[in-house]
Amino acid sequence: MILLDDCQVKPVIIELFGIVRQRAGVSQIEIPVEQTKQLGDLLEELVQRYPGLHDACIDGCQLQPGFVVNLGGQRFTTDPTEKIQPGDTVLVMSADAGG
Amino acid sequence: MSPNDHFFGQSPDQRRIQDQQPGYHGRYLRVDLTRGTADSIDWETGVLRNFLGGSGLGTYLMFREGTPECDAFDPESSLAFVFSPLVGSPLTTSAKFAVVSKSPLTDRINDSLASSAFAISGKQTGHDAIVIRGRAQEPTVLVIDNENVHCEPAGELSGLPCRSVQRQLKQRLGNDWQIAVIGPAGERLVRYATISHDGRHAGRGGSGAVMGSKNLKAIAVRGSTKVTWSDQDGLIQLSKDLAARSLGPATAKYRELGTSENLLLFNRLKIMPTHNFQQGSLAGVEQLAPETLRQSRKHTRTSCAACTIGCEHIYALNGDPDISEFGVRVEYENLFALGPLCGINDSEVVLKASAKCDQLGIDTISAGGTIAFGMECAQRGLWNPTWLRFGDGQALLQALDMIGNGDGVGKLLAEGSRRLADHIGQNSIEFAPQVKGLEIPGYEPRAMQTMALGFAVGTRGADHNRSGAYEVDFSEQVNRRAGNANASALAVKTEDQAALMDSLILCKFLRGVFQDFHDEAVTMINLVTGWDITPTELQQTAQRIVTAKKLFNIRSGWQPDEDCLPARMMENALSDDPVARLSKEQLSQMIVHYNRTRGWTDDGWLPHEILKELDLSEL
Repeated sequence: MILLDDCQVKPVIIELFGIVRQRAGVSQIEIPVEQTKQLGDLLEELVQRYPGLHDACIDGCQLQPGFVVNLGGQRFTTDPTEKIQPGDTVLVMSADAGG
Repeated sequence: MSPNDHFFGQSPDQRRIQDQQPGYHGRYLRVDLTRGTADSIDWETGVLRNFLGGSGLGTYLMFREGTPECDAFDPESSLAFVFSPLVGSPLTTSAKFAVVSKSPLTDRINDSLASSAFAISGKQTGHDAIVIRGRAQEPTVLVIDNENVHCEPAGELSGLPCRSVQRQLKQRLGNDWQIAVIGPAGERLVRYATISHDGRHAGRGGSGAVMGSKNLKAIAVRGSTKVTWSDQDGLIQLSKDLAARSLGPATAKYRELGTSENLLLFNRLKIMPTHNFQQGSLAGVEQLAPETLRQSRKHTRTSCAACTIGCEHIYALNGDPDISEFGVRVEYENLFALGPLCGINDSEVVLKASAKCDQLGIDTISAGGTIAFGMECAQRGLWNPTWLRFGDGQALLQALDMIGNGDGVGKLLAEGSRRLADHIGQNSIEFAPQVKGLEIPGYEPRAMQTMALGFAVGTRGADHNRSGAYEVDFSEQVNRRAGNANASALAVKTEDQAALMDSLILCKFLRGVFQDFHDEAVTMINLVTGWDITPTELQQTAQRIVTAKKLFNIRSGWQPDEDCLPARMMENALSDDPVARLSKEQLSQMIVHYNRTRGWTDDGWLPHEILKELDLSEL
């Protein structure tokens, strides 16, 4: 786990799986957010910190085709305007669940 | 039939080469092991375009060459090896064949696919399919060398594991032969025995047992007869483009980690069945993840014949010197079924168990599911083998040995979880992890309810390959824990796409590569065959194939109450995810919507109008 900034607010926890984890080299990070953010903003921040995610999984503020985010273990989304609250958990993964 | 009998097929002169449909030979080979005959049979007009190849064409053959009412082990029951118009083409992942028969596990139609050079050589014998009927008098090897067909005694091959059989037959016949074999499990009629070639298996549903019931240990093929392509230049260009796309981000998961990438994610989402479908996660499962395996084990990657993706990840057992000889192929399904489903997180045990399944020639999902069910029955005091316990790796390995040897409880475990439940009684059927007798793969139905529907209605039984409904659950199109009519309609689409990919035949790992699957598929088919198929026609072909399978099942005795899930999964939430709950009423409504979307009655019967519309009235 990596804490990006020393901050008092509740962070968003981002969990990475599979190829996304391989590209970033970490399994989980915390990003401090002071107020509601959009998913697209979080994705941009991820890519800035882990440029290896750019070609593989994230393009600017959007997920590449074939990737999806799960919010708190509940529902899936790819919408960059999805609202993310401080304290939320965001899982980033391949959308292909073929086994 | 005695050994070394020779059969006689048609000579090449009798084939109408000038009228030959590009992509096909225009005929299939029927071998009757009882009568000692081999005949080349021309396809009826329209069949190839209606059913394409692979799974679809094999389904047609089950009507033409088998009787749905036959028991799977009856000599008159047919076993078909079916190729496709794309086999032998430069299209990536096209070296596949379907094995179609009645399943001895489900008593319903079964089609299993395998990827290997057997597809290419089998088609080069000059036939679009090879259908085997009857029963040899003693263990036999069927040898098909272009149009020459004969049998040889299996002799010392009987009882040998899959890899040894293949090796010895190559020494006997030559390295230019491709050989599909059954292991000891197929010979013993283990109801989930596989047919193996080059370490890959036509895995689910027990086709290996059907082959064993015919006293057929192996089929060796060699051929030099190639088909033509309608537009060779166009096909080559398309193949280059598809190959390039197949190396992109859409398939990175398969290249880099393989399907076992699912393990940690599914555990996190609590959708990975553990302890016979009692929970959706298991502590310590990180030990089985590919990221962990490759820290401590030798690892290599390989691919099927004619495949650019390369999804096969092979790991060494501890202390084994030669990964190429003794390495174990690891997929999510064998990790889940021989690991968490049995309460086990020891990687050495799971890899050894996988290796045993490969050598015996048995389906890992059904083996793991049946053993896990046995573990729960023993734990509850419903069944005697008290040594069979969740989390006990040695018990798992012993159970697999007993299945392979036909010892003690192995005889019952070899029957699958449904028949084992029938034997044990005491309402154990309520938690037997099967649908129609086929054990459920590694997707927890209560937490993935579109997949739950796919399992319930699947003609093969609980199957994640004939229904790709997990794609829907992994999207923003549905709430995976609140299935509804929208999920039903989407499940139909994934089932139709799977039917097409299994009939073309192409690997489903390519699906993320396509911009518009139907558009690209018609381009491929038309370049090969010269037909003028449209996306609309192709969509109807998919519906025809799925409906034909349902028709076979109805003739085999299907009743509406088979389209269901085990009672454990109805009403009871997952213990570690209370929101993951699927009611009987909810599933019933989804099934009704599914049936209506298909044009069937609410109960799942087939109106005459739909059979006529899909050109199935003659079957």
